[in-house]
Amino acid sequence: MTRQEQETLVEYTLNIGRQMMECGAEAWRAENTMARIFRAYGLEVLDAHVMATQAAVTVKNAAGEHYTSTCMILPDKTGTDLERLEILNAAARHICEQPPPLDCLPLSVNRRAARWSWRELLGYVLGAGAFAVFFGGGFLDGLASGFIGGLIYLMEQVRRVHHQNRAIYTSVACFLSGLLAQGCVGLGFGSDLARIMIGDIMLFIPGLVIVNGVREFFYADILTGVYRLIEALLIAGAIAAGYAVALMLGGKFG
Amino acid sequence: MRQEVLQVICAGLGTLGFALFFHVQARHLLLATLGGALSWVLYLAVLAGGGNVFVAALVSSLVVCLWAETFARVRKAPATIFLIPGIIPLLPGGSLYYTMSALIATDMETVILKGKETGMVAMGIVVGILVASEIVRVVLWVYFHREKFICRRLPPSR
Repeated sequence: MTRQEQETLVEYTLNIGRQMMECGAEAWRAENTMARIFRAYGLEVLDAHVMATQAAVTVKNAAGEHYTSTCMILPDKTGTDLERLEILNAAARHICEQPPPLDCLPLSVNRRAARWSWRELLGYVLGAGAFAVFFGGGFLDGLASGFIGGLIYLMEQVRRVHHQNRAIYTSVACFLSGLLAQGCVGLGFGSDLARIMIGDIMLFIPGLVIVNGVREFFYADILTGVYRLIEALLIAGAIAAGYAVALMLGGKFG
Repeated sequence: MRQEVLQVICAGLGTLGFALFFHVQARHLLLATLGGALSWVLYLAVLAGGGNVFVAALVSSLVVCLWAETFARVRKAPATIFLIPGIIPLLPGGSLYYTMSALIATDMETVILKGKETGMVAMGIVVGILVASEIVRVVLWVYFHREKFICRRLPPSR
C-alpha cells in the first residue's frame, strides 16, 4: 500500500467515524468501526479515539510508517438519523468482510444535504398529536398539538439551513410554539393548553442525547458522556425558558 | 382501564411518529413502535403493582434495553434503532412542563413535587439502561468464552 493509498483510506475511515457520531452513534461504536476497517486492510491500529467533538486515528503500515489524522465533529450539525447510522454500519460490515480495492470503496456513506421530507413532517405531526392525547388531552387538543408540531418542523428546517446553535434555537422555537398554542386555545382550536404544550415539548426533549450520554459513561467515555449530559441539561433549560416566557407574555396580554 | 388502553395506543402512535423523524428504516418500524408500547405497558403495570415512578421507569427502560439488544442481534442493526424510540414514552415531558408552570406561578410546593418526579423518572431510565447494559455484557462474555465452561469431550486431534 503506497502512502497515497494509505492517506485515502485514513481519510475515508475518519469520514465514516465522523458521520456515525453526527447521526447519533456512541463514541465506542465509531472507534470500533474505524479500527476494524483499518485491520481489514492490514494496517496496525495504534490508536483510534473519538470524543464528542473530535476523532483521531494513528495507524502503522507493514513498513513501520506511522500515519496520524484527526477531524472535527461539529456539534450543531449532529442530528438523529438512525437510517444513516444503519447504512454506515452496513457499509463498514461490508468493507470488513471483503475489503474492496481502494478506488471501489462504497460511496453510500457520503452525507446527503438535509432536505424536505414528508416522512419527517408526518413524524412531527404524529408525535406531537399522539403525546398530547397520551398525557390526557382530548382529540381536538391532539389535532392542535399536531398542527403546531408541523409548524415546528418548518422551524427545524430553518435551523438546518443556518446551522444555528441548538440551545438558542430550542428556546426560540419553544417560545414561538408556546405563543402558537395559546393562539390556538384563544381561537377555540383545542381547549387544554397544558396538554397541547406538553405534546410539543416532547418533540424538543433530547431523548437520544440523554440515553447516549448514559451509555457513554458505561463504556468509560466519561468526557463524551459529560458533554452529552450537559448538552441535554442546556436543552431542557432552553425548553423551560422558551415556554415560560411565552406563558408569561400570554398571561399578561391574553 | 379504558384510559390505560388509550394511553398505550397513543404511546405506540407517538413512538411511531418519533421513529419516523429519527429515520428508522421501514423494515424496523414495527419493532420500534412495539418497543414504545411495551415500555408504557410495563410502566403502568409497575405503578398498578404499587411501585413508585422511579421503579416503574427503571423496570420499563431495563426491559426495553434488553428488547433492543436482542433485536439488534436478530436484525443485525445497531441497538440504538430500537432503544431510542422505545424510551420516548418514558421521557418526563409532562412533569417538566408542570415544574415550569408551577415555577411561573411561584407555587414552590408543586415545583418541588414535580421537579422531584422529573428527576426520579430520568434517574430511573438511566439506572435501567445501565443494569441492562451490564446484563448484556455478562451474557455476551459468557457466550464468547463458553469453551472455558464446557468440558472437552473430544480427544485432541492428531
